[in-house]
Amino acid sequence: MAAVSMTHVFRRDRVGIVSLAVVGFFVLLAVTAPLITALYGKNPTEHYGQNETGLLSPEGLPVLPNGGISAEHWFGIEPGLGRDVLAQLLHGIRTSLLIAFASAAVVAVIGVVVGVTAGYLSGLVDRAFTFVCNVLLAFPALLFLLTLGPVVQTRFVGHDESEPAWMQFTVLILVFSAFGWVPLAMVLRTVVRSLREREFVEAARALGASRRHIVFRELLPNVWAPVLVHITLAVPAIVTTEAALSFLGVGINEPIPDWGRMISRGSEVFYDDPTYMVFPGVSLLVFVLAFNLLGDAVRDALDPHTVR
Amino acid sequence: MSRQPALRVRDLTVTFGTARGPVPAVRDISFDVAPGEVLGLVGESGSGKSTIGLAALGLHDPARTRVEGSIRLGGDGPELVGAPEAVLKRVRGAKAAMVFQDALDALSPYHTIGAQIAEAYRVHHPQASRKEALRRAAAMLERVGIPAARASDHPHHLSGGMRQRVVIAMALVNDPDVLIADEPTTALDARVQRQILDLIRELQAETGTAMVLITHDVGVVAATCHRMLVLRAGEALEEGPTARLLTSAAHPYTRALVQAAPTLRTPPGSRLPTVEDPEPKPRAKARPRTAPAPAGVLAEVRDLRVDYPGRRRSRPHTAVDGVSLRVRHGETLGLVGESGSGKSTIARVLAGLRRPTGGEVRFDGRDISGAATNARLRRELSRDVQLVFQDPYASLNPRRTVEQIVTTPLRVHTDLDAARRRDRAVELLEQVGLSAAHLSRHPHEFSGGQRQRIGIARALAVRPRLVIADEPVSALDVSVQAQVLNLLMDLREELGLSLLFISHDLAVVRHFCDRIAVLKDGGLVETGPRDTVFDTPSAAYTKELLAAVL
Repeated sequence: MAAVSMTHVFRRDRVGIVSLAVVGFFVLLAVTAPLITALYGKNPTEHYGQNETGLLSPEGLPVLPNGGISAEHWFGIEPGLGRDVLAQLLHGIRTSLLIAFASAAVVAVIGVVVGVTAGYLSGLVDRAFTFVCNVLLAFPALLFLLTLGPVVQTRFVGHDESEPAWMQFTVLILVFSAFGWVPLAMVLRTVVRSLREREFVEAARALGASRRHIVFRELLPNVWAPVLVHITLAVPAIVTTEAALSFLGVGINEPIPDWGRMISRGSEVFYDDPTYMVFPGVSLLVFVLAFNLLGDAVRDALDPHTVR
Repeated sequence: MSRQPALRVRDLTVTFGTARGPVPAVRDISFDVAPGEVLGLVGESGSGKSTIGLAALGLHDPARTRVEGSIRLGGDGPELVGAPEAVLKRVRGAKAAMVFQDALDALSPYHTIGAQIAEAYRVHHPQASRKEALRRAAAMLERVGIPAARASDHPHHLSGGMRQRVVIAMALVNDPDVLIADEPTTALDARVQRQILDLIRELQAETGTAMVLITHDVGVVAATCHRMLVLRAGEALEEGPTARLLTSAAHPYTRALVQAAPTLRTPPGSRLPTVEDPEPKPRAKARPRTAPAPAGVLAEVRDLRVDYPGRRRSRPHTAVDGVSLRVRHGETLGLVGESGSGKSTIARVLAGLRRPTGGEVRFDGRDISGAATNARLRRELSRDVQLVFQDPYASLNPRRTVEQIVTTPLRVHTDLDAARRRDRAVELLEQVGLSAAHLSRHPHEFSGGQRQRIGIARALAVRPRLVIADEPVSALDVSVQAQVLNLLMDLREELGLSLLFISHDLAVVRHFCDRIAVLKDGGLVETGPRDTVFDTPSAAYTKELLAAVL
């Protein structure tokens, strides 16, 4: 129950510790990406293959075997444009994590506020909440995203300019948040509804405590566990969705490095240069797996009833 | 005893594997039960009594539990400890049967009771036809006092007592040699408990089944068992004929256990013997409680009516109808009734948590019927009226420290700063027998009795004029119940509290209260001074309740 025993339980979960280390490693890479690439001596946007001779063949494929892996370019170079794969990969983590963490934060805030409110007030507010949730759950989110991209492009961006980076990020974060808060709010509504019936809430009312006191001091400390679990499981889901959108061409545009777009490019040249697909693919797999396992471990640690 | 025992347990040790390593639940327990004999396994929570019952039927999960020793049915029966599932299956239900506490959990909600009893029969009589099994089930229902015509009812159509009868019928349908009853009447009202115990005793005498009755209630043992075995923390303390242990037990724990629960013969207001050592020293002189001199009325309800809205289109349900009560200054009013009699609803109305449908509610002459919807009025009311809840596990927020819990009313009602609030919290904890060292702990680090003390400290924080205690000791073990009752009596003397004390337990109410009000189905049956109500009850219902006390 207490935070101390939770960390204690978590520490004995070996899978949880390993996945936490992997996730921590990815976060560290994302934070220090500019530093690493500076030490490595490359940047993610320069077209090394086109600027230097001997790296790309006339067809645009790396000359060296395995996607052009060499002492100069550790993970090889991109077919066509000839950018450095390692530098792109490192900066790609930043893109994914920035969108995922920002969306998760917004989701957490909206989900907690709406879910706790609906659960605590019940009645008409609760019925309205359930209706809105059902509408949002019925909404074809992916199709919506696919159509939203071009709309934003034509409505807010001039003909001859490209969409600014901040706008691309904002649109994605807003859309992920708009749909992402629903499951969290529904979980919290149920949790709060059952907590409301517990005697300690009644006890607080009997003490003369105000509604604000009950919500903030009695209820909220009891809901952070489901919030934490939901967030750790939401982050990998957002990372994969963002990659999928970029793969489909409506996520993050050139020249911002992005895993989904790398995989998309990799699929185009897979027959001639399979190596290019491997790095972003494996990175995505490892990151998402580690984060999901971390979510499981967090849930186990927070739930005293889990049998180990 | 020369005959072969029906159940022979030798050196039984059960160990649970937990995350923190193996935890022994029972150690080296040995006992025999002769055919036709009733043995009571008595102990408080955590004493291992249910563990023994489960082990006797091989119901422990072998992956997480280690069972050692020997359990045999009928001196030369098969060894049950470590027996393969096939052997256990033949024994369970046929040779040894079990009656659980919660009849609703023990019955399937989707099948009729007749079908469930017939199924229990057919499991062990595969050659019996469906028709024959149903016929037997109907006969069995008649034997436990349920008309056979009700065999086609589902469990939710039956009352709690009827359901427990069905479970007993299911257990006895195969004529087992040994019946194990695990707290069979704990969830029932006193009158129903009496009926069920009478039924069990009657059937047991008729069939000559050996029975193990597991209970925390010495009264149940006294009424039912030939012999009793007292357990504490997984070890057997004392065994012997019930009559001897009840009157002249050798072990001090047994003596305390027997005397800790007040009976209808205990002098009211006397200190109850307790088991635990860290009990706070008695502060008030032990003297029989005399009703305080008549004083002004502190709280009053007149013609109170409370309806609960019905679900969907069903009619509203009336919980309290036409009740008039008053609590005088310095007086303790006891509110007695069975479940569903409206006791807690009255408490909630007086605490300003529920709006009455009709009638008058006054505190100190002021109309407070609107407190449930008027936040300001409720705040003002809660300055003077505080609640102590039944379940000390549910009524303390698990995520808050004791200091936060106890100082919450001070934050709400006073402008003391953090340091002064803390001082007051320490003072309160010491008053209820805890110490300043407990301030930073969370509720889960305390035992049930300690938690109830925290709940009492919270209720006393703002020095209320009326304390409403809603079944404050029902969820506690008898020895802890005695401690909490002693504490409440001390505090009442020291602080001159006025109390509304709600309980289903007549003996406790008699011990603690000055005046008694008896409720039935939301209506007031009888009210009067303690001695009048208990010695010369006027209502037939009160007499019935008194007759059911074990």
